[in-house]
Amino acid sequence: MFQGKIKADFIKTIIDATAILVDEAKFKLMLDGVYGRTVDPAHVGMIDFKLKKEAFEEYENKEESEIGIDLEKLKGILKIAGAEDIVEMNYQKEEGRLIVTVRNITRKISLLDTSEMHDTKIPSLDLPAEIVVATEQIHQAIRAAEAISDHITLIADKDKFEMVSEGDTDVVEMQIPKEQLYSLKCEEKVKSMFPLDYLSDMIKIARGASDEITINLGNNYPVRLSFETAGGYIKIVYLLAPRIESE
Amino acid sequence: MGVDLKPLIKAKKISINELAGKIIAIDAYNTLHQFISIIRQRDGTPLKDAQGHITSHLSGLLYRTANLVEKGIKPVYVFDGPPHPLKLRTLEERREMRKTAMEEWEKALEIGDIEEAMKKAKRTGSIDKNMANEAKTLLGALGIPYVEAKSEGEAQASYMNIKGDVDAVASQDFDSLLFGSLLLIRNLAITGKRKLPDKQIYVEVVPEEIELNRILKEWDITREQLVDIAILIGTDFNEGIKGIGPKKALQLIKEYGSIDNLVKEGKIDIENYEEVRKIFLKPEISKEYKLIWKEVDEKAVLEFLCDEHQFSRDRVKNAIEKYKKFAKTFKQKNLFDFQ
Repeated sequence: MFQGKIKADFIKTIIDATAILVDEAKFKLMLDGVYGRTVDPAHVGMIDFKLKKEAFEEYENKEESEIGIDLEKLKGILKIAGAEDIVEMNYQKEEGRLIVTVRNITRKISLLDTSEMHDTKIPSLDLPAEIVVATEQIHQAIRAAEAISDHITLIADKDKFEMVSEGDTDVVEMQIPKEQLYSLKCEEKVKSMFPLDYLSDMIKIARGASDEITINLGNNYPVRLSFETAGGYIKIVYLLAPRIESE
Repeated sequence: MGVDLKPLIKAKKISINELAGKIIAIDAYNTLHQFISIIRQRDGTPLKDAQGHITSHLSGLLYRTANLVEKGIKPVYVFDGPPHPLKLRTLEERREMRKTAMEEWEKALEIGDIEEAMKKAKRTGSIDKNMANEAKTLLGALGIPYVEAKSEGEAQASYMNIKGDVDAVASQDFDSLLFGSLLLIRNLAITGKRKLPDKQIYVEVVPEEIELNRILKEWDITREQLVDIAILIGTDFNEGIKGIGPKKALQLIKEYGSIDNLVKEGKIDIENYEEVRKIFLKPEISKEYKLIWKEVDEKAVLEFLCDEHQFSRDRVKNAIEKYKKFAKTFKQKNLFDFQ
């Protein structure tokens, strides 16, 4: 049996963060928290999150299990909760349903068969550069880029981090020198291009959760975006595959 | 044409959307041939440009391939090379059939039987070298790769499938299964409504998939045995044995194990079977090929289709938009490309 009480804001973050990639997801109810790892159908974006039990007001789980959730259903009930409301979740294997209570409203959510939802492996990536930056700055650059293009290039060298987006006629650029970054580890210049729609969704989630974001970058290689919230008890990692300009 | 395995094989109907993201090697001659039979006016006359030059194959190639890339499928066309000497008999037979059909078409037109005319006209089409070259020119401008086979296109496509460079082979024939294709897709380029011959009935043609290993497992045979079954029925390279159809052939091979045993037991007498086996099991293939999708060259497509062959500029431009969108998707890598 699993039982947890958590601030609505926290669980909403997790559900929204996953829902930008998929409609249905498998969550693992572990003894020390709820874990999830899902890749979108095109295999372009992946989320790997850990919602540690410390992020919950109350957490009780005697046995590890996994549940398949239609995210829209969960969103449906979470909609009525204010950020500070406490959401209660109950799951009993025999019942096959997740019971979610917000204030005095209960929704019994029928779960999905997880036997066809395969475990997702994290690709092992060698990402030489690491940039820690204010989420808000990335968000601004993406907003400006979205007006002119559908892709954006992330570039780092030892002195700065750059975002460049080229449209048919116009170019949007943002440069952040090392001094204005939280940190920058980069020995050789790296550069990769990404689809703006995915990146924009991911950064929106990051911005809602955390003031800073860690970006691990390579050359024509996927990017790893990681951030935390709930005092570090919620960790979210996104992986995003690059676009390759020419082959 | 190819081997007649249809009565034995249960194909699985699928939605074209299930093929999104897949790389599919398309049997070019087979597909162009379908375009030239299907894409005709009501009395059976193929599409022609102002100079009287047939353009049905180009029309099919442009619009049908656009539908595929719109669904996120990455097509690669595979063209036949020179035929194996054993295929010449089949090719001669086909020429004869076309000649007869041509006469019958003309007769039907004379008496004004449009229905019959269309039916016969469909059997008159053939793809000559010039048309194949035009198709290659168009593919080049569209940014869609094509591969020239050393001999049989299906052999080449199957090799690419076995090697993992393509996810499936698309053809109407079953021969690619004999060549070892892991996944065969039928009806890919002709998905949509099609009229049944002799009837005022339209059927919805949907893609079908046939998995080689599923068939072998179901029948409990090897691919070598499947080839033997085909040889008994008859292929493009041999006539087969009179009185042995698909069901009987399967039964014989299951019982005796191979053609060699059937011959040894004096059950059958068959020529060239070892040579035909070799065509399917050890075909000539080219290892030198590159599958690269490029951005559509809009100017070149418009010049070729609209200026040279009088295609409607608006319709062609609409199709080009689909190729442009496609270019964006193939530049996008997926996470598992980086393992």
